[in-house]
Amino acid sequence: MKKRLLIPILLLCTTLLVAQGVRDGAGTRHMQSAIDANGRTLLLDGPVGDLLIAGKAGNMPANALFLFPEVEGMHLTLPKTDQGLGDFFSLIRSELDQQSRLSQTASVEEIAARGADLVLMKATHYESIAKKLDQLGVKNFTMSLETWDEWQAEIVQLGALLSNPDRAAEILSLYRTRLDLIEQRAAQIAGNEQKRVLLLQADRTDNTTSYKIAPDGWMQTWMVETSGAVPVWKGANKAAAGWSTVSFEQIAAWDPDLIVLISYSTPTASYLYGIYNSPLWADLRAVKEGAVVASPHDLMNYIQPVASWILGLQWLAKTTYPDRYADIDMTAEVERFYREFYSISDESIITTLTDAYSRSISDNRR
Amino acid sequence: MTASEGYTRQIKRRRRALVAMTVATLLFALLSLFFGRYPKPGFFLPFGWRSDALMRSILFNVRLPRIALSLLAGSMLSASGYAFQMLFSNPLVEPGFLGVSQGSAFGAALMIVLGAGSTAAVQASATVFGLLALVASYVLARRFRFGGWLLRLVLSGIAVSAIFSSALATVKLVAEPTKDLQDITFWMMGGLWNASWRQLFSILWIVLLCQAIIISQRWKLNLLSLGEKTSFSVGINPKRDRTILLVVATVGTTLVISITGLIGWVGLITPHLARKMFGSESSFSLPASMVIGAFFLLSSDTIGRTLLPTEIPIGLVTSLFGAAIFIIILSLKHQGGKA
Repeated sequence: MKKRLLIPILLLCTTLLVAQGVRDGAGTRHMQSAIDANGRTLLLDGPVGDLLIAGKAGNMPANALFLFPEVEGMHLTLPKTDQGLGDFFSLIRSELDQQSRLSQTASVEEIAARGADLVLMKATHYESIAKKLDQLGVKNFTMSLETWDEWQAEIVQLGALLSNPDRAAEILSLYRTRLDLIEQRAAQIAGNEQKRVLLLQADRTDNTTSYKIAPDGWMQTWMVETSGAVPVWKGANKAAAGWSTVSFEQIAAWDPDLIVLISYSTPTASYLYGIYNSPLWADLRAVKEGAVVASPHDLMNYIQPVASWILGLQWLAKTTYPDRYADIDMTAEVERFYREFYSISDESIITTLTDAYSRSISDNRR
Repeated sequence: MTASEGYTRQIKRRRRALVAMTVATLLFALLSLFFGRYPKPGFFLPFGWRSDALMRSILFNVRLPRIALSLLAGSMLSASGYAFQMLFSNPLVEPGFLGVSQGSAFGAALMIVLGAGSTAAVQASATVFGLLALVASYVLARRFRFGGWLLRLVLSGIAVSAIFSSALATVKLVAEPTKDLQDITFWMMGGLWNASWRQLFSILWIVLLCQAIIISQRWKLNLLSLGEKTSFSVGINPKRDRTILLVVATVGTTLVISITGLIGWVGLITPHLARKMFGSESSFSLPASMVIGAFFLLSSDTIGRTLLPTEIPIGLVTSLFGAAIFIIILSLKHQGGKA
């Protein structure tokens, strides 16, 4: 009797085990897997419904995320993303305007308490946020996005995470097309024809202005080189991990052909006025030749590693070599960028952005 | 040689040494006018400056106000450090030890984060919080029930500095990272790269007045350093005079650091050097301390603006050299003690 019962029980167990295996196999097929900027592999077992962006410089991962259509269906919690020129994300998604933003210094407990499916952040927050979220079992993904190489790798990974590799490939192709044009023409510029360009971040501290240069490894330096120009400050800030102040006499010693002013929190044109009206700057060759210009921005400055860096590169190439890039219509490029990269079709939003761009460079003398 | 003749000779020798140091500092100031990054890094005699408008502008509108500011700031920080050390009879005291520097930094940072656009507002806030820190250190030291006066003063200074450091860190935490945080970081490391004639003249007269008051009262510093009872017995009002000198030294210091940011070690190290060279009596050691302070800050700034294409924060240079000098002074003293 016992032996007769044993056979059906064994058969039943085998069937159950096989069924479990099939179910697990089916689960694996639907799992998204991606490698983040810190080399960790993240597995997600379904689409992301609730996403939170944590930490400072949250506008950078937010920029990348909004390139994907999947963001439309997500409930989002963002930190402060307005650098001082306006909030791009509230402009293209109005409900974000009503939402209170997460503090950039929110604690890990506060982040975990939001119960998001996924937390996105800059790779610089790995030690302070990501590792602690791992301990709490909160899924998180870091992005660096500081160089073009990182943009290429991380857009592919983000595409994998959102189960949309096709859109990732499309985004990179859009960048590639624009970048190829600049690179091809820059390659034709002979060494003795290369312009010497200086990018300066202007910063007003208590009524006095200081000027800072970017480190060699940053995207700003790469953008000047890619546009076919020589970044005159290269080598001066090699060891620094951030912007470094330079004196006026060092700027005079470099004697650049073109000076591009950058400000991320205020309209750059205000610094332009200060320079052209300063008796100290008046004898600088670039000032005499009207070759000190404000960098372009709409609600974000283009000369930084946000999605619109490609517009910054195009503008830089055209401003440095107006004859070589005469066919580039920057206003049209800005419009096309937002339609193609962010799929914006609302004409009032497009007009807001192109108007802001035009205003930002309206005081430039070249 | 009688004692009187010996004393007269010593006074003459010290006077000559002080004049020589002052002349050497002024000569170095003149020389540092030719150090910089334009047209090439290092020392350069600009023979064609009359025809080179840019060179002329750099000499007179960039380097000259910066040199003048470093001389003014160095002498003021030294005078304050000297006054503090004498008033508290403690060679380890300087405005930073009693929380004045941290209080000023907090005051300035608070004003920056609150969005004050004017130099005057930031300077006023730095001065008020610097004075507040000094008063807090003094009051706390009187209330402490542990150790002697000097120990209590140092302990209360540590506590007040820690409170203002913590408050400063809190302000930094809420500061806008792309703007305010950079301004506050400037404050913490110090720098003269923004020096201009306008900035110099915004503090010049008050700082000169503070210096004049401290120099004119230097004989009182000698008496006050002997303690309250002794100084009272020789006919001065120790409470009033100590308060006046403390306020004057604090106002001078906070005005300077409202322009330059926090610059460490100048106020601590230069009085030691001056006393080593001129003795502990203030008649010569106070002005000598101010001359050494001016020279120390000027040479630190000349290095900071010449060595690299990017500016080296002056606080880093003074800390490096100040600490090295401090170690040397202590080592020499130790050897002397052994002998």
